[in-house]
Amino acid sequence: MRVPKIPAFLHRPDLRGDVTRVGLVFVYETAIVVALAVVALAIAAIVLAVA
Amino acid sequence: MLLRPEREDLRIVAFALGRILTIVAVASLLPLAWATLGREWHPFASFLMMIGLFAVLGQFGMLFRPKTERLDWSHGMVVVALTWIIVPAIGSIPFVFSGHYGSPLDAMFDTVSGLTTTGLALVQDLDHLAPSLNFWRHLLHFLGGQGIVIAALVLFAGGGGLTLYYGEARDERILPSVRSTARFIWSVAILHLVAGVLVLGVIGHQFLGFDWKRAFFHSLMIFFAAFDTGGFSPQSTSLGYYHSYVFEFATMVLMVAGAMSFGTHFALWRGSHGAVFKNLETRTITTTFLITVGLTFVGLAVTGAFGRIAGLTRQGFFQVLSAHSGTGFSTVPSVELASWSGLAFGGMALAMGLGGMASSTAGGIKSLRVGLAAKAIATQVKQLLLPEGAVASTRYFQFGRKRLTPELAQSAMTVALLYVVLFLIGAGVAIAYGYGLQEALFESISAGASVGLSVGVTDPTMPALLKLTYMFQMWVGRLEFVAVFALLGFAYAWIRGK
Repeated sequence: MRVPKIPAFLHRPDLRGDVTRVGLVFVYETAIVVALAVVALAIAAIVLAVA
Repeated sequence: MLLRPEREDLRIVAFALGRILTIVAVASLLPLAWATLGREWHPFASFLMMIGLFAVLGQFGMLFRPKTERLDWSHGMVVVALTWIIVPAIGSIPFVFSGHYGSPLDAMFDTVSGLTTTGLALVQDLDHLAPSLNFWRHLLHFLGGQGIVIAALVLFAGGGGLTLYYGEARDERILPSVRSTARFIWSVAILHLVAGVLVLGVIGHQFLGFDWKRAFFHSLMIFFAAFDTGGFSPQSTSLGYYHSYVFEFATMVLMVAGAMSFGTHFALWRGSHGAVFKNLETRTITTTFLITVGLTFVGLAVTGAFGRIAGLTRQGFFQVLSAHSGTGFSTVPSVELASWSGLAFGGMALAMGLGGMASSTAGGIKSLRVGLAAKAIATQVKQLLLPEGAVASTRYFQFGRKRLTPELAQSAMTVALLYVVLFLIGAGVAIAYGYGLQEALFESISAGASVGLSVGVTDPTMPALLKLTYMFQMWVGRLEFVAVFALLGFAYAWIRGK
C-alpha cells in the first residue's frame, strides 16, 4: 500500500517558532490599538474636564 | 540634448505592460467566478468583456518581445505609470454597464479610487449593487494595495524588477532579492486575509446577527478595504452601518496593520520588536497621531459635538485613525463630518495629509519623511546655535543607526512640498467652482493622500473637471510623483527629442 507523503514543511523544526511569532504579530497589532485607545481616552477625559 | 526613445524602448515597455495586463486578466477571473456562483448574468457578461480586453491587450503587448527583458529605471517607471492608467480604464467596464453610475467618467473615478486605495466613491444606490460588482470594487483595493506590479514580480522574475518595485512607491527591500521581498509582502497579506476575515466574520455572526454567508461577504469586503487602507464599504453608510464597537475595534487593528510598513511587519514577524519601537518612523507616527487626536478632541469638545468621554473617544479616535492610516472609513455621516470645524477640521486634515508609514498601502506624506524633515529642521536650528566653522551632524534610528545626509533631508522635504502643492491644486479647482475653503481643502487632501473620507463634495453631480482633478490627485499621490514625472519625461522626449 502506498503511504501518502507527509508534506515537507511539517518536518521543519522551526515551524512552531514561526507560528508563535506570527501569532505574536497579531498580538502586537491589537496591543498598539489598545494602547492608543487608552491614551486617547485619557486625552478625551482631560479635554472634556477643561472645556 | 534630449534623446528620443528608440523602437526598442517601446518594445520593452509594451512587453512588460503586456505581462502585467495578463496578470490582471487572471486576477479578474475571481469576480467572474463570483458572478457565476451568484447567477448574476448581467455583471457576468461585463466581467467577461473586461477580462477579454485585458487578455487581448496583454497578449498583444507580449508580441513585442524585446532583445533584452532588462528594464532600466525610466522603462520601469513608465510601465508602472501606464499600468495605473490602463487598468482603471478597462477595469471600469463592469461599472459602466451596471446602471449604478451616472457616466463612464464616474465609473472610472471609482475604479481609480479603488485601485489607488483611496475610497472616494461616485456609485449610486450602493446598497443595491450586485455582490459580484461590490466584490470587484473591493478587490481593486487589494490589487492596488498589494501591488499589481508586485504580483507580476512574484510570477515573472525578469530583469528590472527593482525599478518596477520602486515605481509603485515602495523603497524597502526587506529581503535580499526583490522577488523574495514581493513574496513576503503577499505572505503577510494572505495571512492577514485569513485571520481578518475569520475574526470579522465571527463578529458579524455572533454580535451583528448576520447569517454565515452574509457575515463572510461583509468581512471579506471590509478586510480588503481596511488592510489595504482603501475605504470602500459594501454599504453606503460605511462602518456606521454596523453600529458595533467590537466590529470597529477589529477593523482598527486591520487599519493599523495596513498602515504599517512591510519592514515593520518583517521585524515583528522576526521578533525584533525592540527595533520597531525604537525606529524614527514608529515614534513619529505615534507622536503625530496623538497630536491629531488631541486637536480633533479639543475641536469637537469646543463645538459641543460630543459631551461624554465614551462618545468623544469612540467617534473621534476612529475617525482620526481612519484618516491617519489613509483608510477613509467613517462611523459618522459626511454631513456631520462637514460640521467638524476649527481644530477638529485641522486635526483631521493634518492626519490625512501626514499619512501612514513608508512602503505601506497608506498614502500621504508618510511618517518617515515627516520624521526626517523634523530632524532636518532641528539640525538647521542646531547649526545656527553652534560656533562658526562647527558642523552639526544628526543621526537617527531606522532599523539601525543612520546619518541624516543633506540629500536625504532634501528628498524628504521635496516630496512633502510636492504633496502640499498637490493638495492645493485640488482645493483651488474646487474653490473655483464655488465650494467653501474648508470643504475644498478637506476633499482635496483626502484625494491626494489616498484617504477617501468625504465631507460631501465628492458626488455624482460635481463638475467633470473636479472629478478629473481628483482622479489625477489619486493617481499622482499613490505613485508618489516619481513614476508620473518619468512618464511625462518619456512622452516629452518622444515629441521633442532627437
